[in-house]
Amino acid sequence: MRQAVLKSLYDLHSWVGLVLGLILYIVCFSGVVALFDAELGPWDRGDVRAYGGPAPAGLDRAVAHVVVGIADEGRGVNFTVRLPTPYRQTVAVDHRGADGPVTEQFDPMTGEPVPSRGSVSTTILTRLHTDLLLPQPWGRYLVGGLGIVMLLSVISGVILHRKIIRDAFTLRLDRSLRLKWTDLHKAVGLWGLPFHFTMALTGAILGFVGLILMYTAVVAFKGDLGSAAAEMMAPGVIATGEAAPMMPVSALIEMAGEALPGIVPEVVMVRAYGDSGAVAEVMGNVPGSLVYYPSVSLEAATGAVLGVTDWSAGGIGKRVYAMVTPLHYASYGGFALKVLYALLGAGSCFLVVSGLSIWHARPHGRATMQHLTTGVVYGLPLAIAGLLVAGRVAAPAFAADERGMTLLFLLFCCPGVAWPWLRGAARAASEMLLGTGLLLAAFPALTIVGGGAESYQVWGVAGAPVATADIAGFLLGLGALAWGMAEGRRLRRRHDRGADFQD
Amino acid sequence: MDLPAFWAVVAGGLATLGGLAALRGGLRRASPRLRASAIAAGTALVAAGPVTAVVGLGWDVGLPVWLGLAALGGIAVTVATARVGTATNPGRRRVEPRSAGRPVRKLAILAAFVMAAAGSVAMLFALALWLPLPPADRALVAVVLWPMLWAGIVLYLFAASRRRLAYGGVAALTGLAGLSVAYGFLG
Repeated sequence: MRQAVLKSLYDLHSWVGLVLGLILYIVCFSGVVALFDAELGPWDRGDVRAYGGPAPAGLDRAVAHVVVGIADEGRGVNFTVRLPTPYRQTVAVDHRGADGPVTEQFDPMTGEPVPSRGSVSTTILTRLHTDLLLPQPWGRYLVGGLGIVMLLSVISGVILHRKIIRDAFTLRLDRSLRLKWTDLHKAVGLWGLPFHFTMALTGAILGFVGLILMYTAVVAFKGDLGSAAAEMMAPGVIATGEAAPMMPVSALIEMAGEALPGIVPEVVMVRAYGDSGAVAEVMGNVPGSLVYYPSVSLEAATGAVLGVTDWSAGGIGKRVYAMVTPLHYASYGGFALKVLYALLGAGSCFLVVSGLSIWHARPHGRATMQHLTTGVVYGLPLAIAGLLVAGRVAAPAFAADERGMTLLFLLFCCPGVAWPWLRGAARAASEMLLGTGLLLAAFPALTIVGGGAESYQVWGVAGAPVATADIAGFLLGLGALAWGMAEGRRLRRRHDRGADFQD
Repeated sequence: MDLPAFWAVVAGGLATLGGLAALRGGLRRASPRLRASAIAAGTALVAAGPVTAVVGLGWDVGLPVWLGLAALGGIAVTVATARVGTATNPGRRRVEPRSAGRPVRKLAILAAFVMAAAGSVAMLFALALWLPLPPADRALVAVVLWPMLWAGIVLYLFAASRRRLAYGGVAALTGLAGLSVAYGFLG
């Protein structure tokens, strides 16, 4: 390949990384944490109740509580039932109240209302990943655009490294700082190439799908919206205005299981409840299969199956598209797969950091850029750890207030970004690592202090998710503390030698 | 995950790790015979990894899981066989960075990005209309291919040595795609 082409690609690779690298880092790092959105729930709520699975009687009683509470016994209303999982031991029913959306929680065994617990910390972290906390849909489009940028970086990076096998195995830690960063950047980038490519591609698709899928379908069906909807969406509701008795939700779930064997129901969406044309859509996962939320649509009055949406059994387009979401969110393989994704996702973060470090190791590196990089790279984990701890210790009303908690998170981000200007990049990095380590290592203490006598159940089967979060937080905290102290020692040694602290 | 599938993943991961270590060792051997044997054994073991994972988990889950394990294994082998020691010249930095003296075409990056966005959308609709598949599949395949089209066009525009020709070509393709969409949609 001609040298001029390679130089152009090098410019593209480096400038795209330099300009958008830190935003990409925020998306990647928050994505790693957001992977464990569900798993962090019990820790966040201090919830060590045993998971008994949904009891049909309790489920139906919970729905009855909701529809009785709505005018005209809930006729014609829409609501969504979220079934309990090992990480959320309540039945949650979402519907629209007089003052806006309402979520009510019920005990899955008795169907009696239970108070909502927990903070919105993980919701904020998920929104940071999907929308950068910007208004929808613009934040989503921006993140989709960053997916394209990441795709560009991945492809241009591969073209630049023509000696792939040699580069993948080369790591010279006995050479200059810049060479170390370069070798690490190449090794992590090349070995994780399929992962980085998949995340970039699926992220770009998910970012723009709300905008482009509808128009593309209209074009593909040559403007025939009815055919497009019939082919690509679950059957809709045609309300008749006639009242009809509804089948219990538990019975509808059972019928859905017969229509689509292997489905593990997670959500039931009921539309036009109480109307003879009401439709229930039972959605869930088929464990071990790479397909997004297959569903069964039924008549809520009779239980007759209206349609089964399982794109893993469709044509090539449907099969490929159905893989996009599970591939991005690691929803097809349980906790172990999420850990694997988290490690590889950490690799994506490392690629951004190492790429920027290569740039900073150049002569005439700008201090402003280095301070900004340090502030974001080390400040974001500190702010996230702070948000998680705040969600656990704050008053329940504040912890459940998304607006207030988002402001608190942004407040936590500010000192992180400002710290390097006050203390110097290297010292700030060391101190922020120590801060992050202390907050994370405090996870088990928060469980014990917050849970009182109940926290002793943490070590039983029922408390396994809480214990896992505690142990993971503690170990990650110790790691961050050790890293921070090592950075501090390195800094002191350099100070003793009279060297600058720039790297 | 059931137990046989779990062991299949473990076996696939270990085979891949062993294979990568053998490949790494083979690439370092001076003797051509040892080098060839190690590379052959490493390749066979690495190839056995995905087969084992796919047998245990099915191709759709087994393949991504194996790719993830192979990535971690590869990084582990690279780190384990890294050249360690004190930097021979820690203070020395490259005097001449690769792009020194050459203005970076930041505006060209932006122009390529915008031009590629327009081109890729036109091609997205053309694919949705003309791919030899049922309509729903056409739409979904086009949506999945679209980010790659966008990125591919940016790379082409930015790396092309005859830039005017490249921009002209992409503009012509965009126009053609738009016309074909209008013809297919309205005609």
